Amino acid sequence: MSEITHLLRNDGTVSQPDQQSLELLTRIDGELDPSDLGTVSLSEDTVMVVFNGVADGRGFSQAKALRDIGYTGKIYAGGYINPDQLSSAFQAGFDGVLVTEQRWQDYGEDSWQAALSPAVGLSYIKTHSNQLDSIWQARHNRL
Amino acid sequence: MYIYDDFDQSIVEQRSAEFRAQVERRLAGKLSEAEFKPLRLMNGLYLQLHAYMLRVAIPYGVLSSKQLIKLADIADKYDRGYGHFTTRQNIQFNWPKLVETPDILDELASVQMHAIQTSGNCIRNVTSDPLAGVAADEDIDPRPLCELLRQWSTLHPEFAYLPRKFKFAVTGSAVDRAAIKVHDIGLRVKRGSNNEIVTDVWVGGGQGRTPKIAQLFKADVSIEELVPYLEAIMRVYNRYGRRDNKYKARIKILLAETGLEALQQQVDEEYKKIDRANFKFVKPELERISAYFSGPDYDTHVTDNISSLPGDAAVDANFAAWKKQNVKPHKQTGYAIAMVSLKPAGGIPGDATSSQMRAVAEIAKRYSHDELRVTHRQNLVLPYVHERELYSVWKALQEMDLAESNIDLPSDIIACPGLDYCALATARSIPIAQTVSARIRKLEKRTDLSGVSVNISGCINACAHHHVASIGVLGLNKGGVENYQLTLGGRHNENASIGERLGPGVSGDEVPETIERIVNFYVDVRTDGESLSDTYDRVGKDAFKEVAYV
Repeated sequence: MSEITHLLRNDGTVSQPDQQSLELLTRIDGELDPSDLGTVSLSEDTVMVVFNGVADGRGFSQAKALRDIGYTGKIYAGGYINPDQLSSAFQAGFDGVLVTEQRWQDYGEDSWQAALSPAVGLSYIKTHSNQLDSIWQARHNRL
Repeated sequence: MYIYDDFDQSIVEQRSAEFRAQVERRLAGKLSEAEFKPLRLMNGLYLQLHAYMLRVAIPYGVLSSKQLIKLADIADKYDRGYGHFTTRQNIQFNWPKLVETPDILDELASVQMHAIQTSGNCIRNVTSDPLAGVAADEDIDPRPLCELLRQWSTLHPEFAYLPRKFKFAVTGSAVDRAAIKVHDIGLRVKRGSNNEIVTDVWVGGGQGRTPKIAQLFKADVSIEELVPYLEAIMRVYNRYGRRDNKYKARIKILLAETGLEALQQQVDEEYKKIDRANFKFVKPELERISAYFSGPDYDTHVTDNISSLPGDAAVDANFAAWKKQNVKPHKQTGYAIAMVSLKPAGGIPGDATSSQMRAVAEIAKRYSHDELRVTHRQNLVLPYVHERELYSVWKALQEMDLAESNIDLPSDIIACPGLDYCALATARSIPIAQTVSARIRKLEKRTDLSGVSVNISGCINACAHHHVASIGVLGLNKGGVENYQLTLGGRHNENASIGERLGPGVSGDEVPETIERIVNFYVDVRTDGESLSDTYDRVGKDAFKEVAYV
């Protein structure tokens, strides 16, 4: 697998991740049974949930499970995440998405940048992103 | 009916723009077909045998005249002048060009319609009783809950990549016209012991190669608890549903393998973890939505409606037959529900031409407060017809070949597109349905066959619900030859049951005759009020087998 070269954050910014930090990052396999997430140290500053395929959505629920066990650090998504899934990832509670050079090239910078504008889309329900009110909330705020 | 506000409109417009960009990337070679597939499927776009197929949602089956006219325009401009209404209250266009599909989505958005999540491994179009809000036997109008669920499930960030597709159906009547027990989740809305609205949650129904009737998972769930409880079910399914075998990936398999009690426990544990503060807008939102479904301004000045019909109505036997079979009792005195059959004898089940769509839309505009419904059985409904207008409605329908008096009769066949269109099909279903309906329609005119239903699927995926018909037909391919298995004893209603395979399959040519022999035997041995499935349960398989195979 090629090197992770881009960190896409839920505020729409893109940066180059520190390779040394990446090496030390706790990686959680998307296939891990959520009941085993208790093994993840709650004191970790950042963890990465690895998606094993573009059609495998377990990682979205893994982010929720991590929050449920009291994890308050940063959660990044890695592996098979494509530009069309960025908004869902941020709404599901991921703080950032780590992209390899290969996948950055495969989809093209234009596609990634377009997916970050805006990074978080509209949603009827409350999501983990604090950047937008849910539609249900916004509706009732203006009533 | 529900009217979009600026938020709803933004969602469909943004989704349409997003899909346009995805199509452009696909056409430019920046997306492979493997990468494009889940994206197009989530927008209802399939690649079928001969062309793309676009499936458009008609949420809980409710449609305005303006929307139906738009569908007719799309059929003419982008397709071949017709559309196919499906069992899950969608309409399918069979010949769109990929490059034009973003334009179709824009046209749909202009009338508050979309194709979002009509396919793919996500929560699909929420379906409901096509007579919701007007049926005389209804306890609670399920449409506000359906709209709430439509919004909750639309672009839900956690549930867009589930192990497999996920289908909800909702009913508010004891008589189930929404087939809730053959859906992944079926909801029965009713009054609780203190007259409050509660919901029974049924889980694990489905058809396909492993047909299952749903089990009562949790009874009497309050409205406040319902959405977080459904979220808990979905989260458990997303985590534990099988992903190693697509044929074992539905929640019915998870339920069977985990066991009812264990799965209920998992869901209860998940439910306890859910932050209920995230759902504090559910109830006010449901109240806001409910205001859209208060019903039309009924004409309550009731006179003797029957004698106010034109004189020739009283002596017109064809009108009488249509009124008896296709008109259902309305909750409002003086009004009727007029069913529009898309099943002319010998015709293609569920198909409507653009001219027919426009004609029905105009009839709805004039006689049914601008509203229509699409049914589970692939027909249309005019839900608000004043009784004194029934004759005019019938005459107008008759002119467009839409007045076949066969609603809920065996010629009201459910059929999937089959091998004429579908990439998954193993046999043709449409031509079989055409020959069966032409033949059985003659029988229907001689004797009451309201206890018989015929559903014809062109493969084991069972899109035509053959498992839950009193006579189910399943088209298979045996050594390169089409072969049709018959199942008897199914039911899709509140007493849902899976039909039993009768015996060896027969050739396509033999299907109509075989069905006729089965029906004749049923007529000979039935007792008063007994359906074919009731008779089958009473007299047993062997008796039917003996007459079916000669």
